[in-house]
Amino acid sequence: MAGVSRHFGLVQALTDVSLECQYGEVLAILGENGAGKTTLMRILAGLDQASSGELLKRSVPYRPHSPRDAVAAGVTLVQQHFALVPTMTAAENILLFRSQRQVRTTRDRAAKDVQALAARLGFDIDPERRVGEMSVGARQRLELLRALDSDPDVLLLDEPTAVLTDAESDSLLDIVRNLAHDDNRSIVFITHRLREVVKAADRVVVLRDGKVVSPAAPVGERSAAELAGEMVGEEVHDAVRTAKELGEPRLIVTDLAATGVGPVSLKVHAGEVLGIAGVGGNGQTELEAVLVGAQHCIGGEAHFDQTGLADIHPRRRIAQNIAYIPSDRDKTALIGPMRCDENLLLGRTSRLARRHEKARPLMDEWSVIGLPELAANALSGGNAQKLVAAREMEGGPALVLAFQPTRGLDPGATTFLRQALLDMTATGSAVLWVSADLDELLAVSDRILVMFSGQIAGEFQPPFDRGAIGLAMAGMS
Amino acid sequence: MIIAQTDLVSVAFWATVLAAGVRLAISVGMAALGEMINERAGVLNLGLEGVMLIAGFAGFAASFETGSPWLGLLVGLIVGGIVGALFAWLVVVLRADQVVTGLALTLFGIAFTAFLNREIYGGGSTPPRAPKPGVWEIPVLKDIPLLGEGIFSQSSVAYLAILVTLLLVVYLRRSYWTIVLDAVGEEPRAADAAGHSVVAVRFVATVAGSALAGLAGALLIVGQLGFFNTGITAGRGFIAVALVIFGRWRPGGIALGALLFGALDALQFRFQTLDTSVPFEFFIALPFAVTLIAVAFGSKRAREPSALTLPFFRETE
Amino acid sequence: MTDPVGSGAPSTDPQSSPPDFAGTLLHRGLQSGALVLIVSILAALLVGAVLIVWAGENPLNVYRVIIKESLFEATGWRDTLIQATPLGIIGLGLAFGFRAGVWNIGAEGQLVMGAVAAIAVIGPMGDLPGILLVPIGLIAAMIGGAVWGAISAWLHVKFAVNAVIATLLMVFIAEPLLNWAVRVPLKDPATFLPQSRTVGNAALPDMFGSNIHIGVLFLFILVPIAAWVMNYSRFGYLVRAHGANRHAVYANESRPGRLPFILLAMGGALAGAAGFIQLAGVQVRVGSGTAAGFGFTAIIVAILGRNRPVGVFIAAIGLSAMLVGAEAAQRSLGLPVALTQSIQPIIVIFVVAGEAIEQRILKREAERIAALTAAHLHPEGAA
Repeated sequence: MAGVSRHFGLVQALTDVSLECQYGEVLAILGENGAGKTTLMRILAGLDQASSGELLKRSVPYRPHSPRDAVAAGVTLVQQHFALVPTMTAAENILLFRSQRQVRTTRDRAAKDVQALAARLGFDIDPERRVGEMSVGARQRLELLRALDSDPDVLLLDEPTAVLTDAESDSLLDIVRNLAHDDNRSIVFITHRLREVVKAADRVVVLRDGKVVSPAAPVGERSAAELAGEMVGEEVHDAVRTAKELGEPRLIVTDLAATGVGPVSLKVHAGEVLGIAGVGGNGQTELEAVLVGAQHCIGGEAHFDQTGLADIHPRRRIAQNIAYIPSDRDKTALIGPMRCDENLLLGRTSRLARRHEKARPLMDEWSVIGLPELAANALSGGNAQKLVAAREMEGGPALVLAFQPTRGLDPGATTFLRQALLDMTATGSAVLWVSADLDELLAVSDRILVMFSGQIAGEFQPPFDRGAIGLAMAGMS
Repeated sequence: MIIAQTDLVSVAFWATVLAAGVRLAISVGMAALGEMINERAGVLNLGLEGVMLIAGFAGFAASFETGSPWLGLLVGLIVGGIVGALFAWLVVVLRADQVVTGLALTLFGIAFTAFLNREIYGGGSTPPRAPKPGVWEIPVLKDIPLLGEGIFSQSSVAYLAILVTLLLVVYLRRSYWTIVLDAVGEEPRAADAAGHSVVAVRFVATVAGSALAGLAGALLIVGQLGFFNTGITAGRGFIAVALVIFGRWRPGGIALGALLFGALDALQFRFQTLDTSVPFEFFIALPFAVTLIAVAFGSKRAREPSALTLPFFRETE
Repeated sequence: MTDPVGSGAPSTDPQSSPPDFAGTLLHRGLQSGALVLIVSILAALLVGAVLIVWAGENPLNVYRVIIKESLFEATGWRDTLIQATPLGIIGLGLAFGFRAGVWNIGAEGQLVMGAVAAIAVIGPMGDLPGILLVPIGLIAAMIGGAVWGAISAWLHVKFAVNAVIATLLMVFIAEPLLNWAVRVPLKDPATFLPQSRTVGNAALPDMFGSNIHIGVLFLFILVPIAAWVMNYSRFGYLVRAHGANRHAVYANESRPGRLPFILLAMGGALAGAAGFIQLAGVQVRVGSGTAAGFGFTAIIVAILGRNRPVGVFIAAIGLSAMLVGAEAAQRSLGLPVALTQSIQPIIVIFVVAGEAIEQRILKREAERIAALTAAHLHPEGAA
């Protein structure tokens, strides 16, 4: 592909990206959130169209308008979510993806097909096993199998080992390497994990902010430190935070564990901003859920002063003056069709009688532009987030749990919210700030922890060593 | 007929119960099989009662006017399909609420057929009668104790129903489209990702299901009763919905459930004249209670299709 | 700060709100559901007119008779109010549930259980004065209905049984139970028919001179209370919030399942109350015809009332009036009642279809606004 650019109204997702991948080769695309790797993958798979630039396959223009086009052209994407039906067996799932024309076999023979294909790749699969009962690793292998069923010559993988254990990951990556080398296929996979790159890839290219950082080079020629550094960038930030005296620890988390995260231990002191860095999908959402009581805690403890946070009832959390800025605003923070002033009541219905009077001043204080009687989903993203912040942080909470607070917001709202969160610390609040935006965390945090694979992979004090943090985010430390 | 307690152990008694059970099961079982098809695709049709009445009335009219009950059955099938297409357009294409639309369809069916009946046939207490298909008795086999009467000496429509059921069982077990159907009802995003049109599959499934329900209505009105009256289906449409759940959305289970419901219905009728401490109403309520328990304690496999009643919207960019 | 509503031209200020649509009449009409309702009624009346013509009558004449007989004649009014009472009471309970997204379609069974519970409790109390029996009967009925609803609620919340299934199947258990109850334990020994004793002193007296029983007052009192609760109380707020986005409610207010449970029990209680009022005001005895479809018709009432208490009240009166008027039309013009009964569901179908289309339009508008907002914020991105 040459000179591929893609913008979505809001952001320039990809700028002038040029890559090539040979047959019989595994190319890794390394990058963090927002680097543009998912967008690139979607364009290649036919789920999205490039705004400019061109794609060539075997020197012939390749312009898929749908996933079906891509598959017909021999390019298949291995998906992560929602592509398998849990109540159906493996064989049935494979059949589902075949078109009617291809189905000349009965269902029994399909089962044999599945087993044969799996055996050739070097693993075992029970075609009659229901997908819902399979382990995550088995499901991922089935996804791969399904993709191979159409015999593609180009295979695209999106974070293939994101949910796997090290052992499962290794076995999958071995299979992937063999697919490329033995069958002369072209395999492109995107990742933020250096281990995968080192283990499976022939060449690696780094994307950052939608641009190619350095041309693709054989894996052996780049050091891990170099790659990690390119992934997170080299800019130096003036520290906004100076090292300061911290108060007592207010949030104490000890060996906290839930499905998908843990054991995790951390402390946040009064007046401190503890930043948690990490590429999305490494346990941040699970950590968020277990800290606010939305997901069941299966081990360890979390306390805010004397209050246990594990499985806490939401009203209790609010009564303890803990502010929660969720990562999925539309789902858990706001009720779209309801008015702004009614959204300000969520969890705080003691204000019900006076909501009309209180809404306008509160919205003004937080620079939320819009009428109180307007539906919340009519607000722009930045204003909606400010509305959430207004509700949660009115009155100065003792603890703020902020998850991706400025993701997707316009610059004005971003600046406003960052400052608002920082201002909280001046009055002694403890702030836990989880973000996939490393630049942001470098600017605001007093300490930074890195999450990788559901655990804390490193703790860093100022002055922050960007390269070291990058390595931790990429899974090497 | 007065039943003595001693009758309960006689084979002849149970043979008649079984025979009556099959008779009673045919119509409701057929409707349930139809409903099973669209529910497996994720569409809940609470308008079954309405479909049965509308199609049944149409079939009756055809049979009455032409003197051919078999034509009446065919008309019932077709009209059921047409009503199904309308329902499908509303809930699958427009994505109107399935529960409300279905209930409205039922209420409409009850009222509208009553209206038409009154306008065309006077709707009095002695409704006009249409000819019924005859009983086929298979020699020799019909004398098998216990089962003989029930299976081999039935109205010809019963054999039609059994044939349709068997065809359905065989087809569903072996067809590729069954996988697509189930995927659409269970995880529509996966079916969509696989390139199938969720809307198209659901539409076709609903039309097919409704056509079978229409046939069921005709089986009852044209095949078994020979006359029409307001609300003659007496809740069979709703019982069919319960049957689908009881049978765990599988044709075999549904057929068995229909037989069970039918047998219990025949039994409770006979129990009405029996002097015993067990009230016959208990047998009427029993299958529903069992169904609820089965759903509550069933495994995920026994659950309803995960996308049932949920309209499908493809995620926009 | 710029006034965001009504500003037509896109502003260059990146902080300003999305433009114009929000304030327009079309938007307000769609949002409140009033527009869809009016169009639906008119469309259904049109369909009805076609059917009336086919039946050989003049539609305008028929509609005139219906309206006159039900609303402008004393007897018509009486029947309308009496029929509207159970419909409205049940409808209010269902409206709260539907508004929150909880589908209770078992009101028929809950009503029946309420009536059975009431007669079971007050039947043996025969000689107590009405002033005691009525409240006792009402409470017993509400408890009976609530318990029946709670069984469905328990199955739904604890075992994840679909609410539609959990409530509907209970109706099929309630009916045989009713039939048995009036045949055996609660049967009136004085008659041969399977029916209970009369309510005796609990029979609701008529209001000041008219022959409308005072049970009708119950509805009139309930509606403003329900309206206040729905719009101004914490409970009403939770109901509305849950219906719009239950995840946000579970993250900030209550545990999953709590509100659905309460709503199903509440719906059951109100259905039971309606059962008692029908019993004590109209039927006097419990028999196998006790429910008479009120539980299902009330679903229509709640839908047409847009799940809002005042709307439910109007819909209950409206639907009742239609039926009463239709009966009068049948007497005087020979037009079957069934025709009017056919039109009512047609209204519902138009409403539901209209609602779906309305959702599409609103969604598309929201997307258009989002795209415009994005363009304001990143003019350099547009290429």
